[in-house]
Amino acid sequence: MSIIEVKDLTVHYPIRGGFWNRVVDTVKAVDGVSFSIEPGETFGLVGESGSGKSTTGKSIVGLETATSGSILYNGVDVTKRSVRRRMQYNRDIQMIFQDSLSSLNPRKRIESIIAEPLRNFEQLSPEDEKLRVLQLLDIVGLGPDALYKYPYQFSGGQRQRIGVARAVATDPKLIIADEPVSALDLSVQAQVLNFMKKVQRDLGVSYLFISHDLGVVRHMCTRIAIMHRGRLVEIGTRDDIYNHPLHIYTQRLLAAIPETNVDHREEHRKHRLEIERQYEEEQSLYYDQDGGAFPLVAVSPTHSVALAPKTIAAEKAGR
Amino acid sequence: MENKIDKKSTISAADLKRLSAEAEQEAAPSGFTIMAREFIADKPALIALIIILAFFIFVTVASFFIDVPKMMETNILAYYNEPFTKDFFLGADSAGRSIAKQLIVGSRDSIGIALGLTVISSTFGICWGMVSGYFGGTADLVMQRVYDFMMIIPMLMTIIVIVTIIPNYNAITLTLILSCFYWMGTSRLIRSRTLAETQKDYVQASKAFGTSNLKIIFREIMPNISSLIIVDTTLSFAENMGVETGLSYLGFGLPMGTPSLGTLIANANDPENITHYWWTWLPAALEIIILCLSISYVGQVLRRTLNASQRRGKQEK
Amino acid sequence: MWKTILRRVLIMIPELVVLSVLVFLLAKMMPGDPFTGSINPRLGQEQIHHLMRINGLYDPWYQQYWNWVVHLFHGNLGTSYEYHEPVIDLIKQRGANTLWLAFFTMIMTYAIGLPLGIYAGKHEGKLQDTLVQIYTYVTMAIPYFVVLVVGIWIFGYGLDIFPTTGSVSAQANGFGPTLISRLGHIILPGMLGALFGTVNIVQYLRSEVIDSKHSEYVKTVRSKGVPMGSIYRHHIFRNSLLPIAAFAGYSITGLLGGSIFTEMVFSYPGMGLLFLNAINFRDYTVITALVLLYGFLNLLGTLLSDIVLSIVDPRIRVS
Repeated sequence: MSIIEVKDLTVHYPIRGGFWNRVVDTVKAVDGVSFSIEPGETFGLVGESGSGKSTTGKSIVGLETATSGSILYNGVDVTKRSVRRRMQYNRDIQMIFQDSLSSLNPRKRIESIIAEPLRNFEQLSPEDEKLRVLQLLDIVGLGPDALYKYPYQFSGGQRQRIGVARAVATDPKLIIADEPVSALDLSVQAQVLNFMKKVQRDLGVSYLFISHDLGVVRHMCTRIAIMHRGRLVEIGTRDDIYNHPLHIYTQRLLAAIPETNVDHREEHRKHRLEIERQYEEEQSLYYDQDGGAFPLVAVSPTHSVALAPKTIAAEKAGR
Repeated sequence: MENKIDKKSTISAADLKRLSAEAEQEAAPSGFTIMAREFIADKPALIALIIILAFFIFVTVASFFIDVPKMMETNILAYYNEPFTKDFFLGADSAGRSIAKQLIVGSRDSIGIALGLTVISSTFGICWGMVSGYFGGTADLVMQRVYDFMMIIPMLMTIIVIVTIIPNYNAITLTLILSCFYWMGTSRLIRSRTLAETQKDYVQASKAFGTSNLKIIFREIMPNISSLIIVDTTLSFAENMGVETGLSYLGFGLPMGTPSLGTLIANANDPENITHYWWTWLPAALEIIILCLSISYVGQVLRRTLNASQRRGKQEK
Repeated sequence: MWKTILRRVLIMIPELVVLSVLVFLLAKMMPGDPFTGSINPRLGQEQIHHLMRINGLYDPWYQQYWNWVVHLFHGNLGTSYEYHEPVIDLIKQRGANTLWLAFFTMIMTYAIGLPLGIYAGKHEGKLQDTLVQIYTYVTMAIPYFVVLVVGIWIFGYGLDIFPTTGSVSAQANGFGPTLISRLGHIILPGMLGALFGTVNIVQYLRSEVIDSKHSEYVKTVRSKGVPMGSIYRHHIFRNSLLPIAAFAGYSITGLLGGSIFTEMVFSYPGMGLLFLNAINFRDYTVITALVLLYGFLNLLGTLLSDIVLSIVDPRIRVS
C-alpha cells in the first residue's frame, strides 16, 4: 500500500484587482495532479521553475492549502489542517528545504533546531532528547561539537545535513526534499545526496525528491514524474523516463543535459536542435489549445504519458 | 521506533556525559552575550547606564525617607527660600516647600510611570505587531484599520478629556490610560519586521514540523527580532519620560498634591518664577533633559553594537 | 490612480463616523448639560426638564447623535457658554493663529531639514555627518515641552529678544506693523518647533542620499563623467523630494498635538489654548468641536500623504 496518494490535486491562487478588489483571475500553480508514493522508494518530481513542483510538495506537507482534490495518507484525506493536527501527521511527513541557511533559525543553537520536531511530537526527558540529537548528528556525519553552535558557523553542505537530521528526528515515513542540493556546490552535492541515501537505507524512509536537475534525479530516484505548467506530462520508472521518453517536453529536458563526451558533441547538438524543431512544430500533439497538457494515459503498467488521443493511437501502432 | 535510530548510531547513553562536555567546550556565545560584550566595551555608554541605574535606585530609596504629606504642607516662613541654604538644598517654592524633596519624590513617580508605560505599551505593541504581521490576510487588514484609526485620534486632547471625565484616578490608572495611546509606533515597527521574518524558510520549516503558531511567533520569530525590541524599548522609554511629565505640566497628569517633574516645571508658567526664582523649575527641567539624553544615548549605543555584531556575524560566515 | 484615491477616500468615511461617535460619547460622559450656566438660574426644575425635552436630551443616544450630526453638517457646532459665542466663530478666530504658526513651523522645518539631510548624506561617516547625527539625537531625545520652557526662558525672558505672550501686540496698527508684530510672535515658537522637528526629514534624506550614492545607476551616471554635484541635484534630490513632501501630511498630527504645548508656554491664543481653557471651564461644546476638528485634520493630513505616496510609489496603490 502506498504511503501517500495524491488525487487530482489543484492549487489555485486568486488574482485580485479592480475597484472592489474582487477575484478577477486565478494562477493555476498546480492543476490536477495525481500520483502515489510507495514505502521506501524515492519518487522524483521534475520540472522547470514555476511548473508547480514545489507547490505540490508544500501542499503534501501542509504548507499550502489545496484548492481541490485530495491527499490520502493511510486512506485519510489530510488536506484539512485540523485532520493533520489530530493524527500528528507531520510526525510522519517531514521536509528538507532548498535554502539551508534560511531554513535554520539563525538565533537557535543546533541542539534546539534538531530537537524542534521531537519537542512537538515526543515527550522525551532532557537527557534522552540530547542523546537523540547526538545520534542524529552522528548519522549525518557531524560530531558532538556541533551541538551548541549556531547555523552560520557551518558550511552549506553541513547545514543541509543538519536539515536532514532534523527531518528524520521523529523517524518519519516520508520526507519531502524540495531541491535539497540545488543551492550547493557540485562537489558538496554528492556528499549530501549520499547521506540522504544512507539515511534511507538505515531508516527505510521514502523521499519525494523535487528537482530540476535530471542528472541528480537519475542518481536518486526509482520512479519519476515530469511536471509542466501545473500538470504531469509523463510518469514512469527511471528506465521509462531516461530510455523511452515519449512526451516532447521530457525529451527536451533530457536533450538539455550537458554532454560531457567531446567526441559526440556535434551529434548531441543536432539531436537537441531536432527535438527543439519538433517541439515548435508539433505543439498540438502534446498540448491542448490552452497550452495545458492532456490527461495521462498509461502506455505500459509503469509508464503513463500525457498525449493527444490521436498520438497515442499512432504511438501504439508504431510499437 | 526509538531503537531504530539507536541501532544505527554508535553513540549510546553511556557516552552522553563525555560528549556533552565536549560540545560545551565548542559552544558559541549567544547573540546576547556578544551584544553585552560590545556594550561593555563602550565605556561612555556603560557609565551612562550605571549613572541612570544609580539615580533610579537613589530616588527610590531616598523617597522612602520623605514624608510626602508633610513635604507638601505650606510653610510660609520658607517662602521662596534661596537654594544652598540649611534644610533647603535647592531652595523652596512659593509655598515654602522644599524643591529638592519634591524633586526626589517627583522623579520616582515620573520614572515609575514612564517605566510602567513603556512595559505595558511595548508589550502590547509587540504582540499586536507580531500577530498582525505573522497571520496577515484578514486579521492583518482589520488590525491595520484599527491602527489607522488610532493614528488619527487627537491623542493629547483625548487623554486630557478622559482624565477630566474620570473622577478618581491614581498613578496606575493614569499609566493604563496612557498605554492605550502609545503602542502604535512599536506595533508598526514590529509588524514590518515580522512580515519580513515570516517570509523566511525557517518559519515554513517550523510549520512543517508541527510547531503551533503561538510557539512560532514567540519562540522562533521573537528571538530574531529581539535586538530590535531591546533598542526600540529603550528609545521609547526615553520618549515616554516626556508623556506623563508633559501632561502634568499642562495640569492633567497625576492628581493634585502629588509632585511630579512635570508639575515642578509648571512652576515656570508663572513669569515671576521663570525670571526670578529659577530654582523652582530649572532643576526639574535639567533633570529631564539629562535623563532623556542618557537613556536615548544608551539606546543609540545598543543599536550600534547590534549592527556591529550583525556585521561580524556576516563576516564569520 | 483615481481608483486609488477614491478607494482611499471611501476608507476615510467609516473612520470619520467612528471618530464622531467616539467624540460624541465622550461628550455625553462629561458631567453637566448644555444648559448649565447659560440659563437663567431662577428657572425652576420643571422648566429645565421642559427645555431638555424639547431639545431632545431625553432621546436615546443614537437619536441625539443623529441630531448632532445633522447640526454639524449645517455648520452648527453649538454655542460656547464661556464666551457666549457660536463655537464656529471662536474656531475661526483662534484657528487662524494656530494655522499661521503651524505653517511657519512647517516651512522652517523643511528649510532646516532638507539641506542638513543632504549635507549629512554627502559627508557620510565624516565629522560633519557625526555632528548632524548628534543634533538629531539631541532633538529627538528631549521632550518638546521642556524645550519650549527652556527656550522661552533664554530667548524670551533672559535675552528679551522675543515676546513671551500673545499673537500680536496691541500697539501694532495697520497692515504692515500688524504683520511684523505677528511674525515676531511666531518666530521663537516656530523656530523651536522646526529645530526640534527635523529628525524624520534629516534621517530619511540622509539614508536616501547614502543609498543612492552606492546604487548602480548613480555609479553608471558617474562613470559617464557627470559631476557628482549635478548627480545630487538632478538625480538623488529630485527622487527623494516627493516622499519628503508627503511627510507634510503626516506631520500635521504632530504639529497639532504640539500646538497645545506651544500655545500654553507662549500664551499664544490659538486652538490649543482655547482647548485648555475650555477644559478648565468645562466648556463642552468647544471641547467636542475641537477634538473632532483635530481628528478631521489628522485624517485629511494622512489622506494627502497617502495619496502623494501612492503617486510616487505605485506598489502602494494595490493595498
